[in-house]
Amino acid sequence: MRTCFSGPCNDPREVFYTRCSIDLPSHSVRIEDVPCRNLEDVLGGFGRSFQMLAERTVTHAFTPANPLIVNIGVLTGTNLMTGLRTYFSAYSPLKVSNRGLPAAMWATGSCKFGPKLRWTGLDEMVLEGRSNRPVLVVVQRGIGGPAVAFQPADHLLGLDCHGKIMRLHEQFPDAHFAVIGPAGENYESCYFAGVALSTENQLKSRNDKCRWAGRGGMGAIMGFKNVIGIVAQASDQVTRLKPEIRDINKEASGGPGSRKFREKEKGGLGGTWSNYVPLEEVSFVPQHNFRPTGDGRARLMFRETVEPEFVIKAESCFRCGISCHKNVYEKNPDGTRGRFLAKFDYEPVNLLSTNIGIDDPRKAAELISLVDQFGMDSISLGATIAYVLDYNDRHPSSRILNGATFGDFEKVKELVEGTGKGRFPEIGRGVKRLSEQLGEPGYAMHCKGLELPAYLPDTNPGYPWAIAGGHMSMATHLSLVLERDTSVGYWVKAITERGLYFVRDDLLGLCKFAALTAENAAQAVKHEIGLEITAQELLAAVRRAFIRALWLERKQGYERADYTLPSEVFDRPNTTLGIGPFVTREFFSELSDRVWSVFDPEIAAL
Amino acid sequence: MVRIRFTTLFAERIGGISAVEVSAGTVESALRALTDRHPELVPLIWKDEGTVNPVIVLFLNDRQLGPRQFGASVKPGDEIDIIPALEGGCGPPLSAAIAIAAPHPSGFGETQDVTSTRHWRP
Repeated sequence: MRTCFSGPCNDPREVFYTRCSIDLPSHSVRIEDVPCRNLEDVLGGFGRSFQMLAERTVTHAFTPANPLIVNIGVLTGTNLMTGLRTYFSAYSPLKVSNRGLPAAMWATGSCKFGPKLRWTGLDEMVLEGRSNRPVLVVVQRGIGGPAVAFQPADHLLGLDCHGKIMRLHEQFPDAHFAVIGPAGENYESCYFAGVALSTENQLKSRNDKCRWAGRGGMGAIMGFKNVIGIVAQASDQVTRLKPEIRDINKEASGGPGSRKFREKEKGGLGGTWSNYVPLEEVSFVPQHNFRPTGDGRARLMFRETVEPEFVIKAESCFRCGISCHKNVYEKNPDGTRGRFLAKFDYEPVNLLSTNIGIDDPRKAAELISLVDQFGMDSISLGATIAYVLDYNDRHPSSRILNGATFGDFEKVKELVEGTGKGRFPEIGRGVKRLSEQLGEPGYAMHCKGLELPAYLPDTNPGYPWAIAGGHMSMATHLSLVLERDTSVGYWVKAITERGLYFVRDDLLGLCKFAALTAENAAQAVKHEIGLEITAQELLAAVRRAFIRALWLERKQGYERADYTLPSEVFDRPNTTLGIGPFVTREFFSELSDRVWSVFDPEIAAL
Repeated sequence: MVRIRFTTLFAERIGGISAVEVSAGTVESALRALTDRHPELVPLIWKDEGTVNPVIVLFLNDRQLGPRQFGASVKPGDEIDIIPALEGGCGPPLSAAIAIAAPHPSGFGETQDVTSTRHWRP
C-alpha cells in the first residue's frame, strides 16, 4: 500500500493498494497498483472485497465466475499488535438465500500468513476461474516487487492441514501458508471446508496449531479452484516501532479490553472458554442441539473442572501479548506438559461436546483435533451433527446416516471423519439443506444458511442481521445475559446502533480481542500509512460496509422471510432458560419492522 | 480521584469514553459515582435491588475482586477495571455521535448524527 498525497493527507483516493489478479486456467498474472475509491478500499478486508463481489454476477458458488479474494487489512503486517488478519471473500456455497443464490461471505484468521503476504508487496490476490490441476500459488518478494509462480500440488493431496503445512515448511522455510485440508479437496460434499493458516508456534513446535478462516466455506471455494495452498514467502520486514503505536499496543495488551482473553496471572479471566460459567448460571449453554436441559452437565466442561487433569498453556499469535490460545496438553505423571491435544475455545468446545451430549474433555479434544485435521469449520459441522442427533432422537425407528444419537462418541467421530472425507454430503452441505431435505427445518440451527455459534437463538434475536456468522458480525449474542433487557426498543438499538460495528476490525486487519478504541484505530491508520482519518470517519466507513453487505444479500435474493430464527424458538419456547423466553412471533415481527425501518433507507441510499 | 476503566461495551453507551475519574471511598461507591454521572450505565452495572450485575467482573489495581469485596476501600490513584465476564456482546466503542455516511466524492462521505434522525437519505 502506498500513498501520494498532494495536499492534506486525508483523501483515500490518493492511497493505492497492490492487487494481483490471477487467471487460474491460464496461470497468467497481472499485478497492478489500484487507486482506492473510498475509505473502505483503504481499510481493506471485506470493506474492499465486497465492493468487488458486488460487481459480479454469480448464481452458483462453484462456478469460475466466482472469484476468491484473498486480502489483508490496512493494519495487517504493521507494528500494531494483532495486525495479523487475512481475509478470504467469495460467494459462499453454504450461505444461500431461500431462492438458492449464494451470498457474499468472508472468513478471516490471524497469524503470520497475512503479514507475510503484505511483506511480499501484495495487499490483495484475486483468484479467477479454476485451475485445471491441483496447484500451489507461490507469492514471493522479488527484487522488482512481488512475483507469483505456480507449482504442482499433487504431492499434497490427501494430507491433513497440518501435514500440508509441515511439508510446505520444509520446501519454503521462511514462508507462511494458507492451505485446505481433505474437506476442501472434497468440496462438493463439504461446503463448510475452511482455510488453515500456519502459525509460528506450529512451525517451531511441529504441533497442529493452525489458525482458521473457517466460516462460510472459503476452503471449499479454494478446493473448487484447485488451489491446494498459497505460499507467502518474504523476509520479515519489521520496521521501527513508533512511540504512538507502542502506546496503543500497551493499551491493547494490558488494558481492560483484552482482560477477558488473558490468563489470570496476567490479570485476565482466562479466555472465551470461561464463557461457560456465566452462561450456565442462566442455563444458556447449548445442550442437545441448542436446547439446554438444566441438568448441570455443562459444568463438566468448565475450565476449572478440566484443568486439574491437563496442562493448559496460554500461547499467542505472532507478536501478540494477549495470549488468548488456551492450548490443552496431556499432563505427565510428574505434572509436566505432555502431548499437545487441542486448542480450547468456547464455541468449538461447546459444539463438539456439551451440545452433542459428550461431556468429556478428552473426547472433545479428540473431536476438535479431528475437525482441524480435515479442515472443517467446527461451528458448522458441530451444529449440523447436533441436528442429525436430534433428528435421530425424534425418529428412533427411522434414524439417518449411522444412527448416531446424543452422547455416542464413536458414532459422532465416524460422522466427523466421514464428512471430512466427503462420505457424508448430507452433513457436509450444511444444516439448512439437510433439514429442508428431511422436511424438518424448525430445529435446524442456522440463520440465512450459516450455522449458529454456541449461543442460543432464543437469547439473540439479532442473529438474522449478522452478515458473516452470528457471533462475529453482529454483537448481540451476549446482550441478554449482560443486560437482561427484553424490550423491542432495546434490541432495535442493539442491532442498528451497536452490534453492527463489531465488524470494524474485519476491515482493518485486527483481531477483535485487542478491543482497540475507534480513536486508537484511527490513530494507528494515521501512524502506519499516513492517512489522517477521524474515529467518526472510520465508523462511518464501517457502517457503509455493513449496509453494503445487506444490499449484497438482497442482490442475491434475500427477502424478509430469510431474516428469521429457527422456528422452534417461537413454537417450542424453552422454559429452562434463566431469562426469558421472550422472542415470540409478535416480538420478532415488530423487531423486524423496526430494524428494517432503519436499514432500508440506508440500503436504498447506497 | 479513583480512575475507572471499562471496555467497549460500556464506552459505547457514553459516547466512546473509556475511562472516568471519580471521588470515592470504596469500590462500590465508585461505581455509584460512575452511574450517577452516566445513568446509561445503570443496566449494565447494577442488578435489581442495587447489587452489582453478576456478569461483570471488577479488578482493583489488577487484582480481581470477589463479590464480597466490593466494599473494599480505595484511595486516590487507585484504578478499577470493569469487565464483562463474557466475551463479545460489544462492538468497538463509538465516538460521541454514531455517524453514518453517504457516498461522497472524497470517499469519506458526509457524516450525520443519526441519534437525531432515524430515516436518513443523502
